Amino acid sequence: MNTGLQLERVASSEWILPRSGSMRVPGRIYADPETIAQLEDDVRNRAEWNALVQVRNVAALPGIVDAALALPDVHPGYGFPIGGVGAFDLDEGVVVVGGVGFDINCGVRLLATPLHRGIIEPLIDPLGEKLFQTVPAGLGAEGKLRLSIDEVDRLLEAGAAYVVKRGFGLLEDLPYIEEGGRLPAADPSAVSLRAKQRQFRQVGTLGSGNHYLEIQAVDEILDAEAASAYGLVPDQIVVSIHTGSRALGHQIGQDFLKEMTAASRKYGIPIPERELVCAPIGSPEGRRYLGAVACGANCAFANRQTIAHLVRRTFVEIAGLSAEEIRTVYDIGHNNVKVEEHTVNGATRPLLVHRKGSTRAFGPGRSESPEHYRSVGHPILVGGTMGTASYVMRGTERGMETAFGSGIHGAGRALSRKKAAKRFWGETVVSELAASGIRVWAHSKRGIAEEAPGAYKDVERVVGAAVDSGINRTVARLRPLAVIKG
Amino acid sequence: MAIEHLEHTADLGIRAIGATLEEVLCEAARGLFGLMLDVSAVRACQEYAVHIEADSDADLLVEWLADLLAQKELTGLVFSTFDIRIDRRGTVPRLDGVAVGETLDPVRHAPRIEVKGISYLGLDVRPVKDGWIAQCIVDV
Repeated sequence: MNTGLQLERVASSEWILPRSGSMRVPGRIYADPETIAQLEDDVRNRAEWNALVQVRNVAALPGIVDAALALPDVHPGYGFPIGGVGAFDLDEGVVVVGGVGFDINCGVRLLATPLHRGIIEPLIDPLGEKLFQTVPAGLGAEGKLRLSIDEVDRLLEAGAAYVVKRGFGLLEDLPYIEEGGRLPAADPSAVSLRAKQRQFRQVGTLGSGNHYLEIQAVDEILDAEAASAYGLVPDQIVVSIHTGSRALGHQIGQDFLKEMTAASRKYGIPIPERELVCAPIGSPEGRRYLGAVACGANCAFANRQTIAHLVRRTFVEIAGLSAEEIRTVYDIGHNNVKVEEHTVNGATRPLLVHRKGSTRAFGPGRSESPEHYRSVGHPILVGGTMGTASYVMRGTERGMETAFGSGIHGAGRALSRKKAAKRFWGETVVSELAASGIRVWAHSKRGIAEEAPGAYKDVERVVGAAVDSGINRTVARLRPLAVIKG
Repeated sequence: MAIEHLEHTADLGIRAIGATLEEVLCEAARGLFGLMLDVSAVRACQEYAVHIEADSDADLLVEWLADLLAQKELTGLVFSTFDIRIDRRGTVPRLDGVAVGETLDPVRHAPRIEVKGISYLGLDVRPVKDGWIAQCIVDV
């Protein structure tokens, strides 16, 4: 059957979707053969939601540069695929709400402790229990920091630094957050009153779904030079925090889907799928959205900063550490759109890079990385599943040349939530994980079933494809010991 | 009247089938809260009045669900009962009505998963044989 979506394999983990029809550039997919087979099956079976069709649709947007990318954790999203990257020319290109999604700057913060796996065992239960009580998570949970409308505006402008000023965390954290924890393009006037009001009690909340807080152990160092730069050693206890911009980001996404629908019509932009509504980057609508997205991103930085403070406080109380002994390794988002300099066909120029379920992964030498990490590039934080492993990775020269310096963000779902909830039982998942030494605290047992390790792709396969394609490198594997879920 | 939760790899979907547009929009709202909690445990204690205009029936579904979703943080309310009417006399459809529910109770309502937004993916609102269908994918 000729679907018009025939992939050409150009390397062991790299496929090209050649230009056809309205595509302005080809698609380029970095993935393992099993993932590619699944994507092709979805096309053949005319699956209702289809990541290859989404790559083709992104490739048809005005001003897209070089190729529409999908990374090894690709799966169907809305508009953009999850694991999708699209870079656009600033003059000819568009900014796309679906290239960011509702959870603006959802991402991961990694904290490193001086604790060792050998001595943590008796502390795991009290730490997990205390974190479960301390970090607000799940539907309807409210944060410790209550904000007025003026304070929300200040948070949207200042990002993580705002909550540090309010006593949540350390100034030393800020250089180790992507963009220093603050996107200067933030324009609070572009954010609706409703979005701000929804955030009054949301700062410092984890959320639910795939968001988590994990105590992990460094299981293996895979790149000694980068691990040394990041301060990671074997058997070290670390903490990962996965959450985003909470209700404020969700409302910005909702508001601008509507606003961009009107903008797409106004500017006569042909939209292959409604979730790809967009506006020219330099238009008033495009600039407003970019100002609002930067606010959402700053809100997410502040949210993870606040939770990091709560984690620190817990470790101080239970493990007897000082706050300064718990160091931010890095904090990086995986739903964002930003202007970055990239070299395409030999010419270096600013581009607007959308990453939906993909992290920035700048390789060695870029000034955007913290000074201390510059020789190896900043860390990429890859969330696995609660039963397998997460990874610290880094960017590469090849990734800079061929993937706009982008990296994978997780294992990527293999089963729908509905299928996972039918196949797995929350209580059983918890007891099976306990048997393998992983303790789980969760507000929703159904949520555990939907997030069961078996609902995700094999993270080793996803990481392997990212490494094999040359766009990312592994630095350290992290094993979960305690998992807190909403 | 029927509600079905659709398959989507990353997110969740709602498909409501009913006799009238009003019925499927109400059922979709019940389906939305049914994703998030045990909607049968939500008592009808407090009313929230809704007034929405949108470009099309499909947009009306998105705006209606997004408005109800926002109330979770704005007022703390979650809903289980809906009563609306659609007015088509103007240039665009208009929805007026009430959503009835109570303040979220994290124990009694058995919270499941948080819905982040109402997407346009798979958005479909139309008359079918013997009634109407309304569906959308929500981000979780």
